[in-house]
Amino acid sequence: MSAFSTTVLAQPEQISELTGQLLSFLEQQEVEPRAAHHVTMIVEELLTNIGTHGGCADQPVRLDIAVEPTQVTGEIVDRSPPFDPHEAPHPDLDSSAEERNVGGLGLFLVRQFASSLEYAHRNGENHTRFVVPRG
Amino acid sequence: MDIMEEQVGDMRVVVVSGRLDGAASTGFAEQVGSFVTGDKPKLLLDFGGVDFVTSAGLRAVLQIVKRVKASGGVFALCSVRDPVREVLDISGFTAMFSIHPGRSDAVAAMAG
Repeated sequence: MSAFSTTVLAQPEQISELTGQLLSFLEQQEVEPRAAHHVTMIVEELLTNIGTHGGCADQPVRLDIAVEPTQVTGEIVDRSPPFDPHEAPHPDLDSSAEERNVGGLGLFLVRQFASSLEYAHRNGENHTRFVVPRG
Repeated sequence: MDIMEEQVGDMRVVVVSGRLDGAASTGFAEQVGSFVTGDKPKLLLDFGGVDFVTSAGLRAVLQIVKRVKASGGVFALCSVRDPVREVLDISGFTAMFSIHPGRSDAVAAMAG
């Protein structure tokens, strides 16, 4: 098993730098492009949510990624107010382009592409764990 | 993220490459949006080089689509990589505009 661990501030430029590093790491580990994309997208969506809605863009967030033979797992630990990503509202997916609201897709994508999404609040920290299958 | 624009007949073709993420999305929407001019614009985004997209990138695409449609124009994508295509599908974007396999297919379909 190979691991990628780091801390990051939940701000767009720092998140972008991190996702570039994570994509390179997953490619080096020969993770399939689909899984590599979706793992990295989930990381960006969760971090962006912490920075914007969690109001914690100035506190380091911990990220751990583990590449396993059949799946990639990730855990994000942050100290923003308790927030369970399952509770985000379902976005509007069916309206025409003219009528459709432009927001609300981020956590929907997390829920769609993670085969497992677990949340716990412990010792003042949010622990969000996700799994993306390989292949 | 790199953006290159060219005119092909009556259509603007914008070749996009790199990561369409939260850091890139605002600049992307502004730059590509500036190519949407005149009445009934035709805009094709060649996504062959886009290897990563997030909800922020989708939001930027939707802003551009709204702008094109508000002017009575046509918007399409081509050469979309599989993981990006899957994100577009699941977000309901595939129902809002055409996605063509390659640039020549798109140019042929939009020429009429």
